Amino acid sequence: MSLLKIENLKVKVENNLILNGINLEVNEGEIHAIMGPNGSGKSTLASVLAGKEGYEIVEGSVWYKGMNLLELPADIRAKEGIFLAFQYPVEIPGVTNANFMKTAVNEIRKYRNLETYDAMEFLNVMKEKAKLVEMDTSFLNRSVNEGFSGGEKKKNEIFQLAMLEPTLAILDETDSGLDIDALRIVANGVNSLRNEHNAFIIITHYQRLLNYIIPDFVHVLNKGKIIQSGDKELALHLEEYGYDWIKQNGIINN
Amino acid sequence: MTQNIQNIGLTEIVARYYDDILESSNSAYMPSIIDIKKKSFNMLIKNGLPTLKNEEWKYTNVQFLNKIPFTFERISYITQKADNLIRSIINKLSQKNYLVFFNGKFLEEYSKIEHENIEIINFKLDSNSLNPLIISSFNKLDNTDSFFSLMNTILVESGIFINVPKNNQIDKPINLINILSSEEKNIITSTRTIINISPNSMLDLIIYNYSDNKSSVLNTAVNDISLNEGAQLNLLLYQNEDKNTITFTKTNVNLEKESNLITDTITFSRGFTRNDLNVNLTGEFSKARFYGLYIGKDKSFIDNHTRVEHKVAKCQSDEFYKGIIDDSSHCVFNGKIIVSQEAQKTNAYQSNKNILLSENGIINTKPQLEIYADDVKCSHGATVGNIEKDAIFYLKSRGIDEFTAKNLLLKAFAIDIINKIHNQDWVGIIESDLVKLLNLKEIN
Amino acid sequence: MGNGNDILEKLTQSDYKHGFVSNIEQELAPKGLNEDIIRFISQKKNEPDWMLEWRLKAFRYWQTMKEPKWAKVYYPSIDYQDIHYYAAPVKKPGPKSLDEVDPELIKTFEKLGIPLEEQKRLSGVAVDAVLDSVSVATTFKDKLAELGIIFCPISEALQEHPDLVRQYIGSVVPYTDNYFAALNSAVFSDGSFCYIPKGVRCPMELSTYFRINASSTGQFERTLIIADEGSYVSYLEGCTAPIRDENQLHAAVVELIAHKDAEIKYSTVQNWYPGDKEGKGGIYNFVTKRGICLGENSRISWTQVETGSAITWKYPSCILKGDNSVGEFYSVALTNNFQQADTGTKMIHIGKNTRSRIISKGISAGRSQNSYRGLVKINKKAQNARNFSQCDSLLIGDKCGAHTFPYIDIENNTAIVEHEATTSKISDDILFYFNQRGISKEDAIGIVVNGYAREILNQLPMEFAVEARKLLSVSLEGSVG
Repeated sequence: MSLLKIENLKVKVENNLILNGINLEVNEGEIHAIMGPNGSGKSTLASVLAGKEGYEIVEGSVWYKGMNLLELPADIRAKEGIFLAFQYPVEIPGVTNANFMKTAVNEIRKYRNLETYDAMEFLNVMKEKAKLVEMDTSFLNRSVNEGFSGGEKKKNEIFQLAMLEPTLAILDETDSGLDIDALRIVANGVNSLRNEHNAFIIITHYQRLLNYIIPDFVHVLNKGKIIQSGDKELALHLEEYGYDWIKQNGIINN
Repeated sequence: MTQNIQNIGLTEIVARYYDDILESSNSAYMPSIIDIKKKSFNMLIKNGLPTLKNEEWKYTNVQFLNKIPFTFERISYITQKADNLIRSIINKLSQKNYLVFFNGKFLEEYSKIEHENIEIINFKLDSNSLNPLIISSFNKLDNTDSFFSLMNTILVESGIFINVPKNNQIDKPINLINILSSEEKNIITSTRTIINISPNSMLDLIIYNYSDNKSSVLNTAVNDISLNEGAQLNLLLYQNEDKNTITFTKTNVNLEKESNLITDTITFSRGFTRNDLNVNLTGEFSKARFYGLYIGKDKSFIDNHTRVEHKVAKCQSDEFYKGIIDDSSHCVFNGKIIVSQEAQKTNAYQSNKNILLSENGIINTKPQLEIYADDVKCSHGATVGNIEKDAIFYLKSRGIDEFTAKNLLLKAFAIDIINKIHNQDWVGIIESDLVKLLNLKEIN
Repeated sequence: MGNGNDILEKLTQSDYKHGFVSNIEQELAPKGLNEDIIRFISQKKNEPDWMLEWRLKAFRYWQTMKEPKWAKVYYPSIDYQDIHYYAAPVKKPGPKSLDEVDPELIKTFEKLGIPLEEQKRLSGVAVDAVLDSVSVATTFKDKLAELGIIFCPISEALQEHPDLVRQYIGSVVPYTDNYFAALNSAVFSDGSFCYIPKGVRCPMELSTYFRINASSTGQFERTLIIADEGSYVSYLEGCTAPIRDENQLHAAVVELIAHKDAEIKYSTVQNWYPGDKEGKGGIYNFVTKRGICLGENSRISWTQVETGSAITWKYPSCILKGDNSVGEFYSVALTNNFQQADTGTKMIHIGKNTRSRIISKGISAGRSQNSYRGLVKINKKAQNARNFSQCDSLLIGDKCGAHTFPYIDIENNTAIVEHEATTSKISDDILFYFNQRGISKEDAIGIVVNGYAREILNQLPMEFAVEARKLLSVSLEGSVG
C-alpha cells in the first residue's frame, strides 16, 4: 500500500531552488536509499518531509497516508508516524533523555487514543529499547545529547526511533561520522525495527551503510532531481564511478 | 591667563579659566564653539566632580584632584629630554608616518606624514572657519559625557582632524605620539582627535601616550570616530605613562552599515588612568572587536569602562580584556553590553580575565548585560585568580623551575592579547615593555 | 505550522490560582505610620520595653532615609501613610489549640494546600501559618520542643525567650541597613522564630506560609533562625495573596545565624499575586534576607523560586565569617506580563577557605524585566576563597528584557573567582526537534523551562519541588488548547 507519494516537488531555500521536481513513491515494508553528492538536496528533502520551517514550496505535493503532508505541522507529522533521525541532533541542557522520551511517547500515544504509560512501564520499555542500540541505561538520566560523542548522538537517534515506532523513518546521513561498530549497531537497530507495515528512507552519501541495511530501491539525487533509480546494485556502481562521474555524465548504464 | 592657583578645587580652576576666556568680550571663538563650550560648562557645574556614589565612578575616587594645585600654563617648549624621548620612539618605527604632540601641542617640525589621499588638519578652535564635521563632533554632548570629557571640551583649543575620503585603503599606519613631560609645574593638557572614515575606506591608527614627569600632569583626551558604510579602522591605544600622570580618555566610535572596528587598548601606565570606550553599532552588519590588556604595577590605578550599544539588528561585538594586578595597584573593569529591542540577531561576547598577583592588589570587575531583544546570542564571563597552580606544577614536572614557570605563564597570559594587535612594530615595542614592566625573564 | 508568537501570547493567559479573598473578621490599625502606630503594634504584642525602643529608633532612622532607586524597577511612588500597618484576624491571644482558631481561617490555609488540622498535617513538615500581620497556627510545636527546638511566632518568642531574641535580632540586618529593613524593624508585626540547639538535626522541614488577605495592608514579617553549634535545619517559606487592583507592600526581613559546624537551608517559593495581564495590581516585594556563617565550617544555602509579585527586590546574602564556611544561592526568577524582578545575592568572604556558589536562572516573558544583581566580595584577609557564579537568562518573546549586573570585588590574591553568564532564547531548532517528536510548541517551552531550572529545583525539598515545578508550568504551560 502506498505510504508516501511525492509529486514534482520543488523547494526554494533563501531564493535558491534546491529541490527541482522530486517524484518518489514509498510503499509499506520498503526501504529506499537516496544517494547523491554534497549539495544535491538530500537533507533538504528530509527536512521538508519532517516539516522544518524556512523552506518555500514552489510546486508539487506530498501525500502521506492519504493526507496532504505539507499542510501538517511538524509535531502532527510525528504523531502520524514520521520520524527524522537528524544529521546533527541538538543538545538540550537540563532535559533528561528519559523525561524527553516519556513526554514524546505519551503525547503520541494520546494522539493515537492509546493509554499512556505509567512511570514503571515506561522505564521498562526504555531499558529494553536501550539494549537494542547497546547503550548503557545511565544515559537516560543525562541531558539530551549534551556532551554526547558523535556516535552516541546517532545511537540516541536510533533509540528514539525504536521508542516512537514510526511508520515512515527518514535517516538523514545517520552513518556519517560513525565507526564500524557504531555503524553495525545502528544498522542492527534499523533491521530489527523494520516490518511489513513501516518504511524507511535512508539518506546517505556512502554505500557502506547499505551493506548492512539492504535497500529495496536506490535513488540517485543530483541538483535537486532524482536522476536514476534502481536496486541495490546501483549503489555499488555509484561507488565505483563516483559522484564526479554522475555530475558530468548523468545516469549510469549497466 | 590665571597664574598658579592653590588648592581651590578642580571645578573652580575650570570655572576661572572659563570666566577668563569665554566670558571675556574679546573671545576669539566662533559663536557656535562658544555655545558648545558654554553648554559643556553648565553640564560640568551641574554634575560636579564625580563621587563614589555615582555608579559609573563607584570604584574610582577622583577627589584627590582637588588637592593638586594645577596651573594653566602651557609648557610646550622642547627640552633636551623631551627631544630624546621623541626621537627614541620614532626610531623604533619601521614606517615613518607620525604626528607628534608634546603636552597636548602639535609639533609640526617633528611630524612626518607621507599620505596623499588623506586629509589631516591640525585645527584651531579660534580660527574663523572650521570644517562642519569638526563642529558637529564637538556638538555631540550626551549622558555618557563625564566631568572630564566636558572639561576637555571647555579647555581644548586645538586638535587633529583626520578624514579618509571614499574608497581609500590607507596602507601605511598613522602614529599619533603624545609625549607629556613637566619638570616642576602641575599642568593640565587636553587633546582632541576627530576621525572620519568615508565609505569603503580603511585606516590603521596608533595612539601612543608616553610620559615622564617630575610634577603632576592631568591629561584629558577625547577621540571621536565615525566609521561610515563599509569603513574599517584598526585602532591601537597604547598608554605607557609614569606615576605622575593622571589620564582620562574618552573614545566614541560610531559604526554604520557593514563597518568594522578592531581596537586594542593596552595600559601599562603607573599613574592614574581612566578609559571610557563607547561603541555604538548603528548600521546593520557592523562589527566591533575590542580587546584590552592592563598591567597594574606599583600604586597604579587603571579603570577601563566600556559600553557597547547594539542599536540595530545583525551586528557583532566581541570584547576581551585581560589584566595583571601586581604590587599595590588597583584595577577596575566595567563592561556593559546593551542590546536594544530592535537589535535582533545580535551576537555579543564579553570576557574579562584577571590575574591578581600581589597581596595588596585590588580588582573590581563588573561585566553587565542589558538585553531587550530575544533573538540574540550574548554571553559574558569574568574570572579572577592567581596563576593556575596545576599549570605551574605541570611545567615543574617537566623540569622547569617555579620562577621560570610563572614567568612563562604570565607572559603567555598577556601575549594572548598583544599578539592580536595588527601592527607588528607595536607588537614588538609592547612586548619588550611588558618584559621590563613585569621584570620577566626573556624566554623564547 | 503554529505561529510562535501566538503561542507566547497565549502563555501569558494562565490564571493566578491563589487569588481568592477569605471572609475573616479583621482587626485593623488605622492607616498611616507614626510613633503612635508603632506603640500600638508593640502594645498589641505585649512587648518588652527594649523592643519598643528599638522599633522607635528604627522608625526615626527610617524617617531620615530615602527610598532606594538603584534597582532596575520602576513603579509609582508609594504613599507610606496610605497603608494599614496592622491587620489581624480577631482571636483570643495565642491560640493554644486549633479549636480556638476561626474555621474560615483553617479553610483558607486548606485551600492553599496547607492543612493545619492535626489529622491532615503534612507529614514531616512543621508549619507556621502567617495571615497578614500575625501567626495563626504553628504545627508540631510540642514534638519539636522535645528536642529543644523552638519554633514559634516571633511575637511568642518575645514573650517566652526574650533574651534569645534580644541577642540576635538586628545582628545580621541592623535597622540602619536599608530603607525597607528600617521600615520593617519599626513596624514588623509577626513572623517565625526558630532556634535549633547544639548538635540537634531538626527531624522535619520547618515551614512558614505567608498569606496576605486584607486589603490596603502591608505585610512586614520578620524571621529569625538560629542554628547553634553542629545543628541542622531546613526551612521553607511560601507566599500567596488575593487578586486585588491595588499594589500591596510586602517588606520582610529574614536573619539567619549559623554557628560553628551548623547548617541552614532556606528555601522560598514566592508566589505573591503578580498583577494582571495589563500590569494592574500585584505585590511589591521588597525583602532583605541575609545570613551569617558565624562559626567555622558553617553553611548557609538559599534556594528561591520567584514567580510572583509585581516587583521583586530581593538579595538573599551570606556573610562568610567563619573559616571554611560555605554560602550558596540557587535561584529561578520567572517574570511574565508586566512583572519586574531585580534579584540576586551577595557573598561576602571574610574567613579563610570560604566558598560560595551562585546559580541564577532568569526567565523573562511578556513585557517583563528580569535582572540579576549580585556581589562577590573577597576581603583582604579571606585567604583561599572560592566563588563560582553562573547567571543565565532565557528570553521568551521579544518584548521583555533580561539584564545581568554582577559586581566582583577582589582584594586577596589567593582567591579564585569565576563568573559566567549567557542570554538566549529557546531556539527554533530546539522547538522543531520537540515538534518532530510529537510535542507541541507550548509543551516544549514548558519542558525546556523546567529543564533549564532543574538545577535549582533539585535543591528544593521534595514537597516544594513538586509545587515549584507546577508553578513554573502554570506560568508558562497548559494554556494552549
